[in-house]
Amino acid sequence: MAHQGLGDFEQMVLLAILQLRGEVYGVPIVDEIERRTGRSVSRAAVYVALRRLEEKGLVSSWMSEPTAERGGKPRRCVRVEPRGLQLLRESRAALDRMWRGLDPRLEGVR
Amino acid sequence: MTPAAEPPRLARRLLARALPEDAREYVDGDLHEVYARRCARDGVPRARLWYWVEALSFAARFLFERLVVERLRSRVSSAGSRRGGIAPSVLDVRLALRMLVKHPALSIVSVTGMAVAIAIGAGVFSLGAALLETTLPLPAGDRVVALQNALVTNASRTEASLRDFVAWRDELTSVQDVSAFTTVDRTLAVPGAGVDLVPVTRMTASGFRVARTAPVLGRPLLEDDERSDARVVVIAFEEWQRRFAADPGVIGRHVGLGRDTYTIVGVMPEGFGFPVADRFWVPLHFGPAERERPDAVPLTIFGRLADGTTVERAQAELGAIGSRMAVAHPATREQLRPRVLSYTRAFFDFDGPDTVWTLQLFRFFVSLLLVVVAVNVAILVYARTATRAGEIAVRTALGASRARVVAQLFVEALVLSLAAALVGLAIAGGLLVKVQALAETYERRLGAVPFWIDLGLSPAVVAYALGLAVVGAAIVGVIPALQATGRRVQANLQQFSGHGARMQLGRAWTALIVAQVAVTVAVLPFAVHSAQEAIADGTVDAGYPAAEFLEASLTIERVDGPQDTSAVHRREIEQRFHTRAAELLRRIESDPAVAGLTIRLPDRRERIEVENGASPGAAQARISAGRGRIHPVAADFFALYDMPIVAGRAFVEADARAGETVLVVNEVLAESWFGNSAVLGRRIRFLSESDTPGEVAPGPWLEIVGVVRDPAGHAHEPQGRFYLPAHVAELSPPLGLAIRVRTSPATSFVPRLRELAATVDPVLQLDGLMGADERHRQGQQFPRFIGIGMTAAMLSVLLLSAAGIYAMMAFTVARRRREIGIRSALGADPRRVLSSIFARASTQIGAGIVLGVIGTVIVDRATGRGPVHDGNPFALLLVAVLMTTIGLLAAIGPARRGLAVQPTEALREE
Repeated sequence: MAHQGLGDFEQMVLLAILQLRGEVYGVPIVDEIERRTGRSVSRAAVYVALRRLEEKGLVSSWMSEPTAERGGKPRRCVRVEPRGLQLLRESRAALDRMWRGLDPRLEGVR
Repeated sequence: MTPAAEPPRLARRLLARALPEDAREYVDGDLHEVYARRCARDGVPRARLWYWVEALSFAARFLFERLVVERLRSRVSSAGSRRGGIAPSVLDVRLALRMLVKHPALSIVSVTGMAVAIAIGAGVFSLGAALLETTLPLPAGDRVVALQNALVTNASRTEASLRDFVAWRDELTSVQDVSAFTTVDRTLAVPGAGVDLVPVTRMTASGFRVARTAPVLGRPLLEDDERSDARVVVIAFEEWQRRFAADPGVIGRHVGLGRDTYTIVGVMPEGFGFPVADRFWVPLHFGPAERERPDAVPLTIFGRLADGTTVERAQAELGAIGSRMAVAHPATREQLRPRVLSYTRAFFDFDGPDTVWTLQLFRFFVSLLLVVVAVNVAILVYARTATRAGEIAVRTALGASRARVVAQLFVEALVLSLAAALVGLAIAGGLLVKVQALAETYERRLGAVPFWIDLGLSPAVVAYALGLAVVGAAIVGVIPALQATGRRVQANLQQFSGHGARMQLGRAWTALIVAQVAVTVAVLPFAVHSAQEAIADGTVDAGYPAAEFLEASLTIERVDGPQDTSAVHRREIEQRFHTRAAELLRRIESDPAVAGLTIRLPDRRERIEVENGASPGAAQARISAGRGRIHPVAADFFALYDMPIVAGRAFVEADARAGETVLVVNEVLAESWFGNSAVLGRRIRFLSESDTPGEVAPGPWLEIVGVVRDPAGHAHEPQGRFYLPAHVAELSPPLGLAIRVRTSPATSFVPRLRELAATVDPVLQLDGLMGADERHRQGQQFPRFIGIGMTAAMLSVLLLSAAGIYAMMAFTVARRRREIGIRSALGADPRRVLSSIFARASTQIGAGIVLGVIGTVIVDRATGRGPVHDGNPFALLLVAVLMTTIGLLAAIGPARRGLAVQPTEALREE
């Protein structure tokens, strides 16, 4: 199997899920990303990313009970799987290695 | 939430169509939730705008994901490291397996059809290989050759004789160990293991050198045995196991073989049956009488090619010897040319290149059967491929080459045809085992099955079946694939919107469907008819208490050599048979286990003259149209077989003593020759061929004194029979014996019977001794086998046809969904819509049926054999009704789906 890396956007979605508590589903995830990054994100892109992450086995999902304020529709709740956590750690380690020794130079640029 | 707070309906419907089914609910719920928040925060109009933007964004994202990204990903992973190669990958195979499961009906129909064709192909291939391509399973078996005489005029095989053997053995240098054999039947008496009739092979000692096979015990026959006419026998491994309980001390034991006692000197290894299917070998000794008349001693001759020699060189040398013999003995040798042949081919007389070519051609045509079936399956697959035109278009758009798409469709077809090949091989394996068993059952009638014939699934047969599967896959996969990836791909891509892509069914399709129905209607009635007959033959009851009967043919040991033909010797033999047979019959009848005994002489066919009218001796006798079958039977024959006399009387003892004066006919004959009226008292006579060619010698007039009813078992093949009284004074071999016994099963009396015969005279032979019910069962095996085989083939043809019609119907409706939707929206009567939709399909089926019926009638008339001719048009009607029914049934599903189409839905598809 080819090496399975994480895209930037996928990392963001995974990290947002980890940041949240309680029932984690599409709406709070989008809010969390927007709140932390200060940018607006395409809601549809988040949903497509969630499906892809689930296909890769990095997150799992289940349906909650339908509620009236949602027009009687259920929520699709998600959780990060150990494999997702591992990939996140690997991504971070790789980035850290790339960053190592660069801080003084980047400070100079600033 | 107020109605105003409801998200825009159109946008929600757009979302519903664009999203995959599993995402619809929660995405709708999430957007609903945020929409409510935005309504409260920004007001309804801005929230609605927001909702529209989100809905369009979701629709675009998910459609792109579904149509492009997923396919691109599958293509990238399937391409792997090959980058755009066309070689099929594991993914293709997985996809093909998924298609197999996803379309179960198509898979079952295709696999069944192709499996039957591959089974037939593999079976015929295996039979052909057994006849043409086997070599003897002996060391350097391909160097063993047969030496024969053939007629100059038509190259047909003619018996070789002792004269040939001596000349060839002494003069040939390119063929070593020239050997000869001949087979005789002998009564085998093993002390303590009963009596049996066995074939014994008289073979020269050199035959064992040709076989290059050493015995597992003792020694083979030696030249010394031959010279001294030693009473020694070498036995087969299987006989040693069966009759001597694998006794390690069997060497030196004595057995009776006919009139003499033999000593066992060797046991051959397991499976050895050289030269044909032999079990007992004794020396081939030629006495003075034989050496005096060497042309009158028929022999089968063989040898081994000398090292470094070819068949051609041996043929040249043998030809030269033949020419010299023709000059020396013009009376017997002028018309003969000797020849050298491959041993196994010579056995079946597959010797000329013409015969071999004919057989190969037959194999080729049988293989074509698969092509016919594969074309049928291709039609079905084409219909499925057509529904995938959109998928093919997208793949092409994503950069898949035509070859790549064709390769994938080929892999799908290959998976299908390989599954068919597996099933086909399993069927063929079962059939071949059955055929071998049948051949061994019929051994007595056909001659022994040679020991080298093994009708199994050899690697060659498996390879052949796999080859057929690849050819089938090429037809099934590549033709529809080329069609589907042709110039219309561009158009399909433009039209593509999920299920809007179209493929056209042209005239070729119409022609195929019409031809399909026509061929089915034309062929099936014949098959139904023949299968009906075969199954009836294969299942009819014997019609008499067969379980109580033993049947055999009583003969006398043939003494080989020219003395057999001398008149004095013949009279001696006849006299000996007459007295000993009479004694044996007396002893059998007096045995307490025997309820009755009757005899019949060999039946014969003669031309028969029937006396005209009721006036005896009238001058104008008329010659009947046909010949009649005449069965000479003893007076008690009818009574023993429980055959009722329906008119007149049975035979009495006096009839036989009076010579040929009276006869009894069976009901079938009374009905067909005399219309059942006034049969008794009519007179007939037999017309034997006289010595002058073209003239006949009429026998005495015989009066019909009775009409007898045949056992029910003969009812299916009604055959007229004349019964003549047979006198015991006529006892001559072969004498048909029927013994009704009190013991159950009847066969428990067999050992006692053989013993009685051996006690009276060991030269008496009970040939083909078995229970009548067993004989009846054996007789039924072949017709039953044929009947079941034909039924299976028929069902697969029917299945394919039905599937073809179904595919056509479904396709027709699918293509006209939009039209159906609009017409029903405009208020058209559903029945009229349907009838117009199916008009074309019905025309095709109708045309096929009409053509098929015409075809059947023409073939029926031409061959004088078939359902209409035999007064069984039922089969024809049945098939016509069946095809129509299948057509209608096939129409129901698509029709219901067609009518359920919503006008809006149909319109949206555009």
